[in-house]
Amino acid sequence: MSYPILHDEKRKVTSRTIRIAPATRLEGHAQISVFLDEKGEVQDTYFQVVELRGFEEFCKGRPIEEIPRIVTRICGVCPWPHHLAATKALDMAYKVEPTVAAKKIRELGYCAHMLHSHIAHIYAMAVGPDLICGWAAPPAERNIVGLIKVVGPEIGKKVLVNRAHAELIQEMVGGKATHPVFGLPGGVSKMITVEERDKIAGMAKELVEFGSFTLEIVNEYILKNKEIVDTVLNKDLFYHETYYMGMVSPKNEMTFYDGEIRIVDPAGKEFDRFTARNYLDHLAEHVMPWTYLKMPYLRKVGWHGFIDGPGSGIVRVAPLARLNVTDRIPTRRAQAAAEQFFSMLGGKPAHYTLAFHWARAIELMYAAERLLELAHDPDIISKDIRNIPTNKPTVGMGIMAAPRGTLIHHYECDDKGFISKLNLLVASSINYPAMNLTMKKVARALIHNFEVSDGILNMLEMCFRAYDPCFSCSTHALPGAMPMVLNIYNKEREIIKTFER
Amino acid sequence: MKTLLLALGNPILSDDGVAWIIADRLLERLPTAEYTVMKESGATFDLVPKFAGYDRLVVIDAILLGQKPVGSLYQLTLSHFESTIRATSAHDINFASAFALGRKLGYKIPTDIRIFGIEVKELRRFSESLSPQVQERLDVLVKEIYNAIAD
Repeated sequence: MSYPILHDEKRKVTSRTIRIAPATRLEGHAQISVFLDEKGEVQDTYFQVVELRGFEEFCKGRPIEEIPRIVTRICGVCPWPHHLAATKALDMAYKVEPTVAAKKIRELGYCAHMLHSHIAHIYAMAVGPDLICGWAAPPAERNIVGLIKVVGPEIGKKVLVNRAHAELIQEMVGGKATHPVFGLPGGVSKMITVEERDKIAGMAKELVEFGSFTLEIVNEYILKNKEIVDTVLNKDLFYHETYYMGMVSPKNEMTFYDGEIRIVDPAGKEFDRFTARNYLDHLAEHVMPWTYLKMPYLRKVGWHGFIDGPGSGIVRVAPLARLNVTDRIPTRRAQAAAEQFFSMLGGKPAHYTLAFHWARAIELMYAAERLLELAHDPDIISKDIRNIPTNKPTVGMGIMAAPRGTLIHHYECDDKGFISKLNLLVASSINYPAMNLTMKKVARALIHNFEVSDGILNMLEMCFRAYDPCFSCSTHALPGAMPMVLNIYNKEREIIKTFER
Repeated sequence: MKTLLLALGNPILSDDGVAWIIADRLLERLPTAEYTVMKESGATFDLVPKFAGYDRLVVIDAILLGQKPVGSLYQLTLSHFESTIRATSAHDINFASAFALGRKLGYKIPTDIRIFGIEVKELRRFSESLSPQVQERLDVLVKEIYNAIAD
């Protein structure tokens, strides 16, 4: 069989309910609904997700200094950005500036987390299964095992070894592999020893090579495939001209740990920039009746529904957005890859949703190069890892460039230091309106005359997978897969077909 | 028999933390020379290399199937998950895929795999407490799993 498999047989919607691979029935966390008119054309789509409940209530009344270790338990997918956004919020709440070494140690651990996260998404979740195996490949082959079949077993070993490097660095720096515990207001709890630094530097070197290898995979298997490139560049499919938001340094260079948030408009012109303290002046949330999750948007533009363009407040975050808002990446290999990226995609900003995957591979490269730089920084083994806070905590906000985009934590506490208010604005939620926007457009382009195929349905899932969203609770409950229900309705909103897994 | 006891869950997400509590209780009763307990928040492919060297893997997790009363125990095998070998997890591969990957790459992974699912009431509300229905079944669940794995 030749890969990637990009076409499969369409079939007419005939029965009310068809189940696909329903191994076990689990409560749904995500649901795609497609509404068809009397001619079998798409009228509308809903992408609904279920939220975890009661986190603010859970935290209220707890000591503010405990929050960085609690927020890591929101999920097993993004504990590091939550931990560091919380730690930065505590820096502000206690009015204490971390030491230079502490900032660098935090950033080093965070680069390892970026690698850990992006490796999984690229190889196991999206690029490997959807683009290298092919979006129309049989479901049983559309996974990392299928990827190994296409590309060879060596790639699987490389992925596991390098992901294990990232995990070990996380553990050495953060105290625990998955749920870090090292962030304290004013610094970190543990220095990096010379022995640890040497070990980290060795692994970082390998990770840099792995970053180059990943970019070669993208070149070889994606960019050399005309049909995939045509699909990526098809403006009738995965394409929206939106605002973009991401963290930048004062020179508008890429940074994951510390910087201002910059917003560019759909033409690429700077629209706004802000720091954690005034995020509420820039972002607002719209409530929709059909989903638990609110729709964040740019306050100064307003919510005008699921449309793109300069008049719509929908803003995108995560790797593509970060490349669009940065003037350059401050490491050699990643910057070279970014130049190739924008050259091929017709300049900045790039609006192609599937280019999120390529941008993610470029970020992987940057994370590895920055990790190596930090490992060789003399400050990284400094013993000066904490400024002890002397003020009572009050209000704190912290922002991180999470793997999935801009993440904002906001805490307020009473005069005894107990949490009285907590607000988290998470990246997947900021991208949620855009996920719906993408899905509506792709469904309308691909589903006609009541005809669907497994490949088409998977392309609807690719609409959200591009953004690498985290619907956290679904990652650890048996059977370990995100339950998905796809309902197709007639114009009377009656379900005529349901796909489940 | 060298056994890895893998408890999956979130200790602050109400019943989702039940596997961790059960693992702690089992550890008090099982011979520590033979059993290693690992408490994790997800069955990710990071676990593949860690499975190596164990003869047996015991997995405990919360499950919400609605097929039995809350607090019931399901004993499952990998075959229950084979048809879900898809790239469908929110951010990682699923359990069966992790094993398939391990085998494909030649890792020595356990041949004896036992998976226990505990039917729970609540998986999405943040709380350090289990639901009363699961809490009152804890002793029974520990005993049932102990009897099933202590040869």
